Amino acid sequence: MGAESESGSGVQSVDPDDVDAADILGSAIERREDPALLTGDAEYTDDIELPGMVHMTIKRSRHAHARIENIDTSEAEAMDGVIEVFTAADIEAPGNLPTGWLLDSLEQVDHPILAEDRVRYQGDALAVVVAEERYIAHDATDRIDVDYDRLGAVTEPSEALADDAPAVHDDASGNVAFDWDIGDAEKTDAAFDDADHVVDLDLENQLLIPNAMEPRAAVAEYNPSNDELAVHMTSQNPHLHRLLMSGVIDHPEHKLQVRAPDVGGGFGSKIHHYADEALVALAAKRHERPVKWTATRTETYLTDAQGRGHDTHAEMALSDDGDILGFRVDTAANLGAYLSTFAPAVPTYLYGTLLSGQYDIPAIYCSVTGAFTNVPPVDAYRGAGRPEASFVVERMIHRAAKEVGMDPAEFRRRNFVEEFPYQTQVAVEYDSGDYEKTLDRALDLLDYDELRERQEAARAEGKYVGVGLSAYIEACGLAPSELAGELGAQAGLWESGLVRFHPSGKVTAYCGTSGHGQGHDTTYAQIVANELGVDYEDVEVVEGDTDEIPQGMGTYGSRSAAVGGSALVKSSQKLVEKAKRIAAHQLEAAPEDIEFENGDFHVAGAPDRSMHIAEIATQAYLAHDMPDDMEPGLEATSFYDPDNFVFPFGLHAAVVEVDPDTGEIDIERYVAVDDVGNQINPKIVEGQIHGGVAQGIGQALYEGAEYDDNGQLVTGSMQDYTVPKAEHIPSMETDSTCTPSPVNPLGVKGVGEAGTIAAPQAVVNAVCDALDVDQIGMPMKAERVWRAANAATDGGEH
Amino acid sequence: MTDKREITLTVNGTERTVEAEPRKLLVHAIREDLDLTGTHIGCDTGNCGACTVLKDGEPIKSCLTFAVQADGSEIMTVEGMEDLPEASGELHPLQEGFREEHGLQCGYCTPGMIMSGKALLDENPDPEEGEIREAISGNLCRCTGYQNIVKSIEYAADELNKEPAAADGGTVTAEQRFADDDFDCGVENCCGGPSTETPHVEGADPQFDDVGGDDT
Repeated sequence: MGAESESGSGVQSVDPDDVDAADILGSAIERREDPALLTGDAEYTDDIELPGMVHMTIKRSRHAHARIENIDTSEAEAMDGVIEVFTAADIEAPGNLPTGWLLDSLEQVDHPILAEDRVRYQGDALAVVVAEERYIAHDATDRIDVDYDRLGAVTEPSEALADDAPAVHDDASGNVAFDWDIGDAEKTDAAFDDADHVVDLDLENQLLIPNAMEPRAAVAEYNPSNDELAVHMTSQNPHLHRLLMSGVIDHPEHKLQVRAPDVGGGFGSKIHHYADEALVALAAKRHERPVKWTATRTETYLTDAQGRGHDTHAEMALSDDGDILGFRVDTAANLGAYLSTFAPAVPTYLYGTLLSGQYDIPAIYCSVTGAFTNVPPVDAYRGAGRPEASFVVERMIHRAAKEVGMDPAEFRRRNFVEEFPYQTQVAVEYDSGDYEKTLDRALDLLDYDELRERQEAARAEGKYVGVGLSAYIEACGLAPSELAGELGAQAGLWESGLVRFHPSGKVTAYCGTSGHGQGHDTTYAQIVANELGVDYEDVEVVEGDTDEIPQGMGTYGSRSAAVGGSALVKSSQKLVEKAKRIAAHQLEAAPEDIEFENGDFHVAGAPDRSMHIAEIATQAYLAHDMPDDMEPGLEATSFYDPDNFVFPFGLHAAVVEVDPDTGEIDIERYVAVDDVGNQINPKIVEGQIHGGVAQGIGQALYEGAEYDDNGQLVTGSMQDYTVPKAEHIPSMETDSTCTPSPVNPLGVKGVGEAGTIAAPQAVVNAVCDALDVDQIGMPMKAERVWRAANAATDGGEH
Repeated sequence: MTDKREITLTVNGTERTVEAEPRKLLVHAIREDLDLTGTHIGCDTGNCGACTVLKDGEPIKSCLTFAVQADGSEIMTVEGMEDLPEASGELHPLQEGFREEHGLQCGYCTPGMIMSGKALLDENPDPEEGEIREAISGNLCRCTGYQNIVKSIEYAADELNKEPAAADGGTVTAEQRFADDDFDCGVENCCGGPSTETPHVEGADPQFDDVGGDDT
């Protein structure tokens, strides 16, 4: 493990049978979860059919902001096959969805699971239909008649904070959810006073809709005889969903099972606790029959928590020599209509703390105002705060390099952090890094000098070629708990892993993370097999079920390998320690004389006197001959809580050609050099980078939630919101360097979000470079680019 | 609205009957009446392609088709891939390609991708990258960035073009294989041999002849 990848066309998969046991960690083995997914044998939530199951649909608000005058359900209730229609008025104490991250200045507002007298976004839940069949439920939903008294709506954060904006919540004055800042304002002001140059940009990071391919869904079943309630649902964190839901619907946590079957992507949208799954659980209890709800795609557009949504003004203070002296950032962040599960953390601690980028910046100050608006709740979407930070930093770096007349690569190099650990001016301390290495590798791959010459030659021929760089950093491995608690988290951010030997010597590893496409079954088995020295095929991995896994926090923030994988390492190490004592006892040697290698315990200097760990497992369960005071059995649980975040980094570069006459952008090349620390499975790492970059390119060129003046979502389907297609995404050239993290025992840093964090500004910088303009907004659709190109040639403002 | 009609489909080589309202979508009939849940639903607008199946050899979006419109047709879903002759009861080269090239992550779009990939290779056994990207442009994937999906289909094309072994024990190249205009692999709409012009014989489905499918 830890070898740097070969540059070129991609990582080759290998069959696990062809890999030596000692090399299993770090091998690009094929994923064990694939056969079921490839043959139709996988089980996603909507695939679940239970005896007596009924279907649920939700009547949603058609207006973004309105008082509810009346909800008439009579016609729907009278339909054949309709079992019940209920509204907030029909249920005792309808629950409120909680916020799991509090800030000192946070204005907490009620978020009822069914709107009582007012709706605050198009899609707010109004009524629930339970019917014998799916089609009947949808028919009945259409026959619910709602009288609205419409109110003015606001969808942009900066508009929501204006004096005359409609009030989204009566209690939240000026639509301010919170005011938050980080860094040293005075020191930063002083840096600007001393600056030779100051550059500034207004930057919008548009609202995005996650678009996991599997719509959210839930199936609940209730057993009245023992009060046990099971909810099978599209979840990235079943334990967290269980905890939150138990409070929302007032059902005891220990009698609530949340299980994530196969989950078709999440990208953050399946972290949060939504009203929908709570309503499914309530319906199952009310009728004592299994209930299924599956979102239509229209519903996911209206209700999935959206991402980004920042309006930012950024200023950078510079010296004539090209040193960054200070950085000042002011952001209005869109939180949507209610505070979603982790919403307050995203534009604050996951954003402001990353504003030093890869650079040694002596003074930074960032202030953020969270704004309520009439759009769906905004929360974590792949990257969550860190893409917004990296976008601001790297767009400003591009602008700053131009200001001081330096090549953007050399400007970056001049300002890179070089010594680690590095304490930033925005609270976090970087664990390890080698930023020049990823820059140099990327410049080599690009043949950068030649590329610049070609760019100049092309310009002479009237062609607009541009190169955009993005030297990103992110903070992954969401944890440690104590720090998270100080910052406002209402949960710990440890991870739990149980490793259990069975008497036959086979192993099951349970982890509290919950994969939904990342290949944890494969990578965790690689980790555990390596630690225990057992065959990879002898390790089974279990995730995603509160009834099977003792505790867990889930999969988000690129945390699974760093925190969950490390928990499995810790548990495996405990097993090895116990097994060593059993081996010493049975081999009649002192424990300190026992050596462990590739699964074998042997007496030092006497390799023949040995026992394999699987054999010891059998002995541990037979328990006929155990050391004194040792309990039988061979299993261990760990709650791993790291000391710090981990900080992956890299250099992404886009080479584009822009047609100024049509505004079309052609991405000629996309080069990604990432350093995610040690790699457990390089093929899976490559896949994560590819997918992340595609989402980042999607943001740069195509995607964006757009609302009209009434708060109606204009991009409310895949017809109107461009999820990139195969023809939209270029072939990417990926490469990596390896700077292990000292924070965790695996030396891993996390990779799930890297591409999404890195890509948008690489592409925007490239287009700005091609046209020699300072700013183009995302998504860079043809009209925008055409206008920027024409303004540039006219010498006007852009 | 609720009057049901009986329709007959040959699904993965087996004749099945379904009682369906005229408005029932084919994808619901496949998933809920035939219990073939490998075909997925990802959108309401026919954009995502997760529901792609082959109807009489052509890729269609089963969420844009009423079940009654498919009456009498042959439907192939991802569950049928392993029963094709070139799969010999194991993973089909397309499925193998997706696994080998890491062409899937969450797997939700994968069955639809595989069906579009099959439709492409049936028509064009040695596609260029651009042709592959075009062929799957009706299938959205949010996980992979498509690059490894393209490679997966290329892998399958290479594997399929290797078979069958030549008389000299070597492999037959695509050029050799299709040089003979009369070449017929026996599979309808496959191998560039018998094309969509081949008369369709009702009830006969040579794809499944060798796997003993229950045709009743």
